[in-house]
Amino acid sequence: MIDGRTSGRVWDEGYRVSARSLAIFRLLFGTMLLALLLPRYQWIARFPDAFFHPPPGLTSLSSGFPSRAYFMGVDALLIAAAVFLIAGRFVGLASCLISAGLLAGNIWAYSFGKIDHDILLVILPLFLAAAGWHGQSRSRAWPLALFALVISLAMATAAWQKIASGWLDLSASAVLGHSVASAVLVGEPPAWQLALRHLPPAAWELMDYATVGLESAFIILVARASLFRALCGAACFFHLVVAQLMAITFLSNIPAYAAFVDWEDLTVRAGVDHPLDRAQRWLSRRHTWHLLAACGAVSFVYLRWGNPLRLAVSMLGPEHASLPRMLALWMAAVVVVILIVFWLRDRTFVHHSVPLRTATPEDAPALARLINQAFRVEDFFKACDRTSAADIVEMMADGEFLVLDSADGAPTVAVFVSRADRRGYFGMLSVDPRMQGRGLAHRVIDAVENRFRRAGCHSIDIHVVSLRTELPGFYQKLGYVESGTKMFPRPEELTRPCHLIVMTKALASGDGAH
Amino acid sequence: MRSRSFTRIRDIAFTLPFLIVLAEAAFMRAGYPEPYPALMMPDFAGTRTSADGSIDVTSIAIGVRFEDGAAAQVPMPALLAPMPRLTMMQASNGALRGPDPASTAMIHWLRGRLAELYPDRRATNLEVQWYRDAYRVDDGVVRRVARVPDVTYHIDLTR
Repeated sequence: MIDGRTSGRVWDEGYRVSARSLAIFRLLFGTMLLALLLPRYQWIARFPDAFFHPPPGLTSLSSGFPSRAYFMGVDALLIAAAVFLIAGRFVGLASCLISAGLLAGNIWAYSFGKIDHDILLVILPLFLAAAGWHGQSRSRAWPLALFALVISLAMATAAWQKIASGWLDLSASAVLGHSVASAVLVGEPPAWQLALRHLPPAAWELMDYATVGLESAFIILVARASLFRALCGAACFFHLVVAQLMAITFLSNIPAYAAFVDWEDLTVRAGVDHPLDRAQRWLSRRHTWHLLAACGAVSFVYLRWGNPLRLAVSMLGPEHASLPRMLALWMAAVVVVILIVFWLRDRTFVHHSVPLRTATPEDAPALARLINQAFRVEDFFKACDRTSAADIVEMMADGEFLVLDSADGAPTVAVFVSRADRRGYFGMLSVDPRMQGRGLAHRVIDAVENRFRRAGCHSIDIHVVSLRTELPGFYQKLGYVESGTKMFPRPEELTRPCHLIVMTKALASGDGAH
Repeated sequence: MRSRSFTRIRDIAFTLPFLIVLAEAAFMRAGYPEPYPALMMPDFAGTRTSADGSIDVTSIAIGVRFEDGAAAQVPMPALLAPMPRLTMMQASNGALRGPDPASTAMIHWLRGRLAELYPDRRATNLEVQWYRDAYRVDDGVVRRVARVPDVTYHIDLTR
């Protein structure tokens, strides 16, 4: 049984992603809304009330559809909220408006007798806003854990209904039946003929079981964040297969799965983190009036002529109408493959020990270059370099710099370590930007912790600048907890006010892994 | 440090989804159709292969007759555009099937829609024929093995 206390211990940290990761996801989600999903409700007003067959719910008391102005208003509201969400302005309000707008439109769109099960898309912005996808402060883990639970329960309803309607009956195949019906009524999806010719009957039956199994697995694995994430990846492939076999491009769950991806890590590894940061900073500096003007312009184009991407695709012919959604599903699958490759690489390489050497004063100029390059990410709140060769030599009196050299002998990773009594400290952890995203920081931290452990230290302290909102989450995953705050030692270097967060990890003598 | 009230609210938040899903299950078990909004994913109940391997599919054929006596078949996607494709069958089932698919509002809409599709002709009559079809997959090929006419509606568009 999952209760609040259990959730507090198990879920909170397992589901945490950094505020920066959430902010990147916010950008992607807003872009997806504008590129693929909006405008969404203009078609409804073209149909008479003879089509009005509402499900039990908010529209069941009405006798027909609202006027065209209502749907214009809902779509315009959604477009404006998406623009502000992308820009990172009034994010809480924009998130609430997107959820409210999607609900206000969906209740009428699904009053034609067919419900698209995209409730996760509707509620996603509320959970992500609570988790901190504005990116301005520390992220919260519990809203993501709660969202994971909601997803799992929703998927469980699908599994339960399938079981109740005979999906596990070995004498009948539901996937084959639905695929045939879709091919006849909607048109043959891309892989339909191929699957029909080459898949034996047992494979179709297996797909029935696999579908029910996947949908049931969410609620079984939700208490383990890492397994839940893996399941989300598998579900992306599941939706891709459904699209290929049944012509159902069910895109609305993909953002729900994507909310759990460590986008910060992915963008750093892909080398697109700096352009993304620059884009986000540029967007966040836009004046509110500029954003309102953008909302007006986008709304005018979208409501007057339609979504430009959809218009472009419609020129290819009506049979290609689902192409953007199909491409989005393929992109999700590609992201999952990339994540799997990174995961496998980390599993292969991270736990190998790294040959750290102690730097000498002769290394100081090279170390200063490396550290200043790695700390360029702090330029948004600092007016000068992180350090200098002279500073490094001075610091060597209080501790030592440990260095990992590359094959050509140049320092690739550097970290300053010191200890007093039985407390260790490390700081200035710097990875050559060209070598970032390869798990080197993890390996060096692992080595430093082992070094302190062997030296008899009972704990390690680190200091994190409060404006680096992505770092507490990173270190929390490694077992560090916030233990206090300190003044920033050189406030004259700052362009924005900040302080240091002290994080501490207790070292057990047998604790050899993180 | 989190306050007790925060912890209590979070506990309630974690309990609420369970209660919602249980309430939905009880609602549908009482015989009501699926509500919206609801925390539910698609069931895909219904269409399965039957014991003899055939698959039952309900289909619709829409024919239009013009003032000059000519006739044409109107594909459902063309008639119901720009409705989402996957909504069309259920929407047709609601609007173009009894008890009154020929309401005044529906006739008015059909006249306007057919005038858009056939701008140079005047439609006078619409025939909506529903079928119960059966398909089989043999050697990797889908074949229709039976077609049973279900109900037919003649809608006079000159009213």
